[in-house]
Amino acid sequence: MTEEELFTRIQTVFAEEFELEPDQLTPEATLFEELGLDSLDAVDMVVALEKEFGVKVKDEESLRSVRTLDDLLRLILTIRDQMNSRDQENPA
Amino acid sequence: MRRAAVIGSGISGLTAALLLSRRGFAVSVFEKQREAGGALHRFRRGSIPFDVGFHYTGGLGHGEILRALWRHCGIDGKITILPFPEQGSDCVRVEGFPEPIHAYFSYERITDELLRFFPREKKGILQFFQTIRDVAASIPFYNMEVPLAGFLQSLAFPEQSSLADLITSCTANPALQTVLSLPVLLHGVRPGNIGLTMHTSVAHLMYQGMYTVDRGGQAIADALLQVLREAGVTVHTSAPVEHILTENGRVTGIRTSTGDFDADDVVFTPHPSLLPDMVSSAGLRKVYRNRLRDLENTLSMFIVFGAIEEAKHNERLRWTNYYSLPASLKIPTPCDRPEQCFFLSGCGYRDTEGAGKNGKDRAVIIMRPANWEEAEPFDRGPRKRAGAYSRWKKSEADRLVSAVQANWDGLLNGFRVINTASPLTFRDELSYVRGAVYGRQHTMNQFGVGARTKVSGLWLSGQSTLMTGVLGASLSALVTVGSMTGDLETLWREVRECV
Ligand SMILES: Cc1cc2nc3c(=O)[nH]c(=O)nc-3n(C[C@H](O)[C@H](O)[C@H](O)COP(=O)(O)OP(=O)(O)OC[C@H]3O[C@@H](n4cnc5c(N)ncnc54)[C@H](O)[C@@H]3O)c2cc1C
Repeated sequence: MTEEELFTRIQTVFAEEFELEPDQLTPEATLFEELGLDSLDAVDMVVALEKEFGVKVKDEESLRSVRTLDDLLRLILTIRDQMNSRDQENPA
Repeated sequence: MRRAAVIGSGISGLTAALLLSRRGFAVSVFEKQREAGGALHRFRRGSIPFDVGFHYTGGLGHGEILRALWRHCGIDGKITILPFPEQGSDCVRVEGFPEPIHAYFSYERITDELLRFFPREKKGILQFFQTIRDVAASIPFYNMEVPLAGFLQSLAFPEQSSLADLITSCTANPALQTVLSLPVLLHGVRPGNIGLTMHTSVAHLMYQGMYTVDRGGQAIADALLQVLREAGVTVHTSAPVEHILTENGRVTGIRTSTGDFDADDVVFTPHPSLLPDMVSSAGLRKVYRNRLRDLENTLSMFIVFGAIEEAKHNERLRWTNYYSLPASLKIPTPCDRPEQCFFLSGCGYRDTEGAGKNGKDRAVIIMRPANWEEAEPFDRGPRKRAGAYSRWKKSEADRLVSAVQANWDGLLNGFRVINTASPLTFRDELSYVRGAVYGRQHTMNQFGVGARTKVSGLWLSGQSTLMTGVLGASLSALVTVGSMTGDLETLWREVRECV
């Protein structure tokens, strides 16, 4: 999946699951200030992303650096790469 | 005065109500059933009392957490706590292992017992119990020096290492693995799916000493109800809450079958999957509603309630519970041959309450894990009415009783079946989703369910939130009330001062 496709899917998740307006969902949109999410939504966000992309966010630490939707895209890419390289090291 | 409506009168609802009224809230409790107490409620058949959701608990020794909480609530002097004596145990027969093993309620005594049967596993056994003790030392409820806030925060994210990881690193012996995983029967999650900290929060107490209460869970509920009455709290029974009323993202009250009730705060203690349908969709995000609906649940149970006449009095039943379990890490999931996995508690033998017409009957309860799917086919009207459900329950009860008789010679002499409960019973009597006896699974694969929600003034508590069991549900009330007042630290300090 290309970065662009991935971002479109992130937008879809936020539009559907968080019931946000699609035109708000730009890469620069900040989760907390502009999209109005709060700490209560953080867990739901992680759950929704796990379900959609199969990526496991292991701790709160990695979420701290996430401010915008684009940051979120980077985080998913990083986790996905880590998971892929692990799979290559330990082929099932 | 801030008005709070508490939904559900189990241990979490009653505890929350009391803690809130002590903090100046005007509190009312609403219970769907005709009687208060939730899983603590003791029902009677032919005047024999039967416990459902309370057989024993840890945490009631001097200086321990539940004792301190109950002292803080003012019920400590109103109930009689009965410690299991030294020889008391969960006595376990593991499939394929020749002798029964006593899982004593003491780190030292269970270690000695296991070393006796498994001398070659010495290193693993010692390492196992040392690890559980070390983990317990990081849990504030058991080591009150540990800060509570940080611990609660860490619970929001799934744990990384499981009970199964620890057990398999300590031993490959299947019978020993079963005995080491025994406490999972008190939280209902398989060893591979339960985080080590969550497991320890239950298991450590079992290894510290177990207790019961004279006259069972009802005595705890009655004591709380008495203190609540004195505090001016009304407990409405036969009052199912149908809807939680909100306006502009704020709670304004609740709707019951008999009318509306204004409230500034609502504490919801039933299964969280039931919440989304009770709140208008404006308040809670779709993603959260779906997460609550999709929560994975714990096992259900099939239970046989019966009695033995005291003339055939059996001292073996007083302080020992009996288990027959499959080998290795399979419990608590229902087995392929369900009757081969059960646990039995002679709870009537521990009680001062006379039973039966002549006061001579003693209640004995046999339980086995069950799947919702076993009972669900009988949920459809016609089949239920056709009596198929009763026939199924009877044949399951007979199989279970025969299995106990085959495994434990003479233990059930004079036993007669009086009643049964199936996953449908739990759904109907306690509103347990899919009959799940411990609520949602507190697994490593599932995120926690916190006390706060997006609707301001709407709070969650109960066994599906912080932790499960009588102790877990009580502590969930403490944490929820702490969040409501915004001063968990003070509340926590006051409870610690009651140690
Ligand atoms: C068979 C069995 C054996 C157990 N054994 C033990 C044991 O030995 N030790 C131990 O520590 N734990 C044990 N447990 C677990 C323990 O009983 C529970 O974890 C604990 O009692 C749960 O308390 P609670 O307040 O969260 O929920 P509950 O006691 O279930 O209370 C929830 C209440 O909410 C009410 N309610 C639901 N919907 C509505 C509505 N719409 N309006 C109003 N009221 C509503 C229900 O009727 C119920 O009374 C056992 C459980 C079972 C089922």
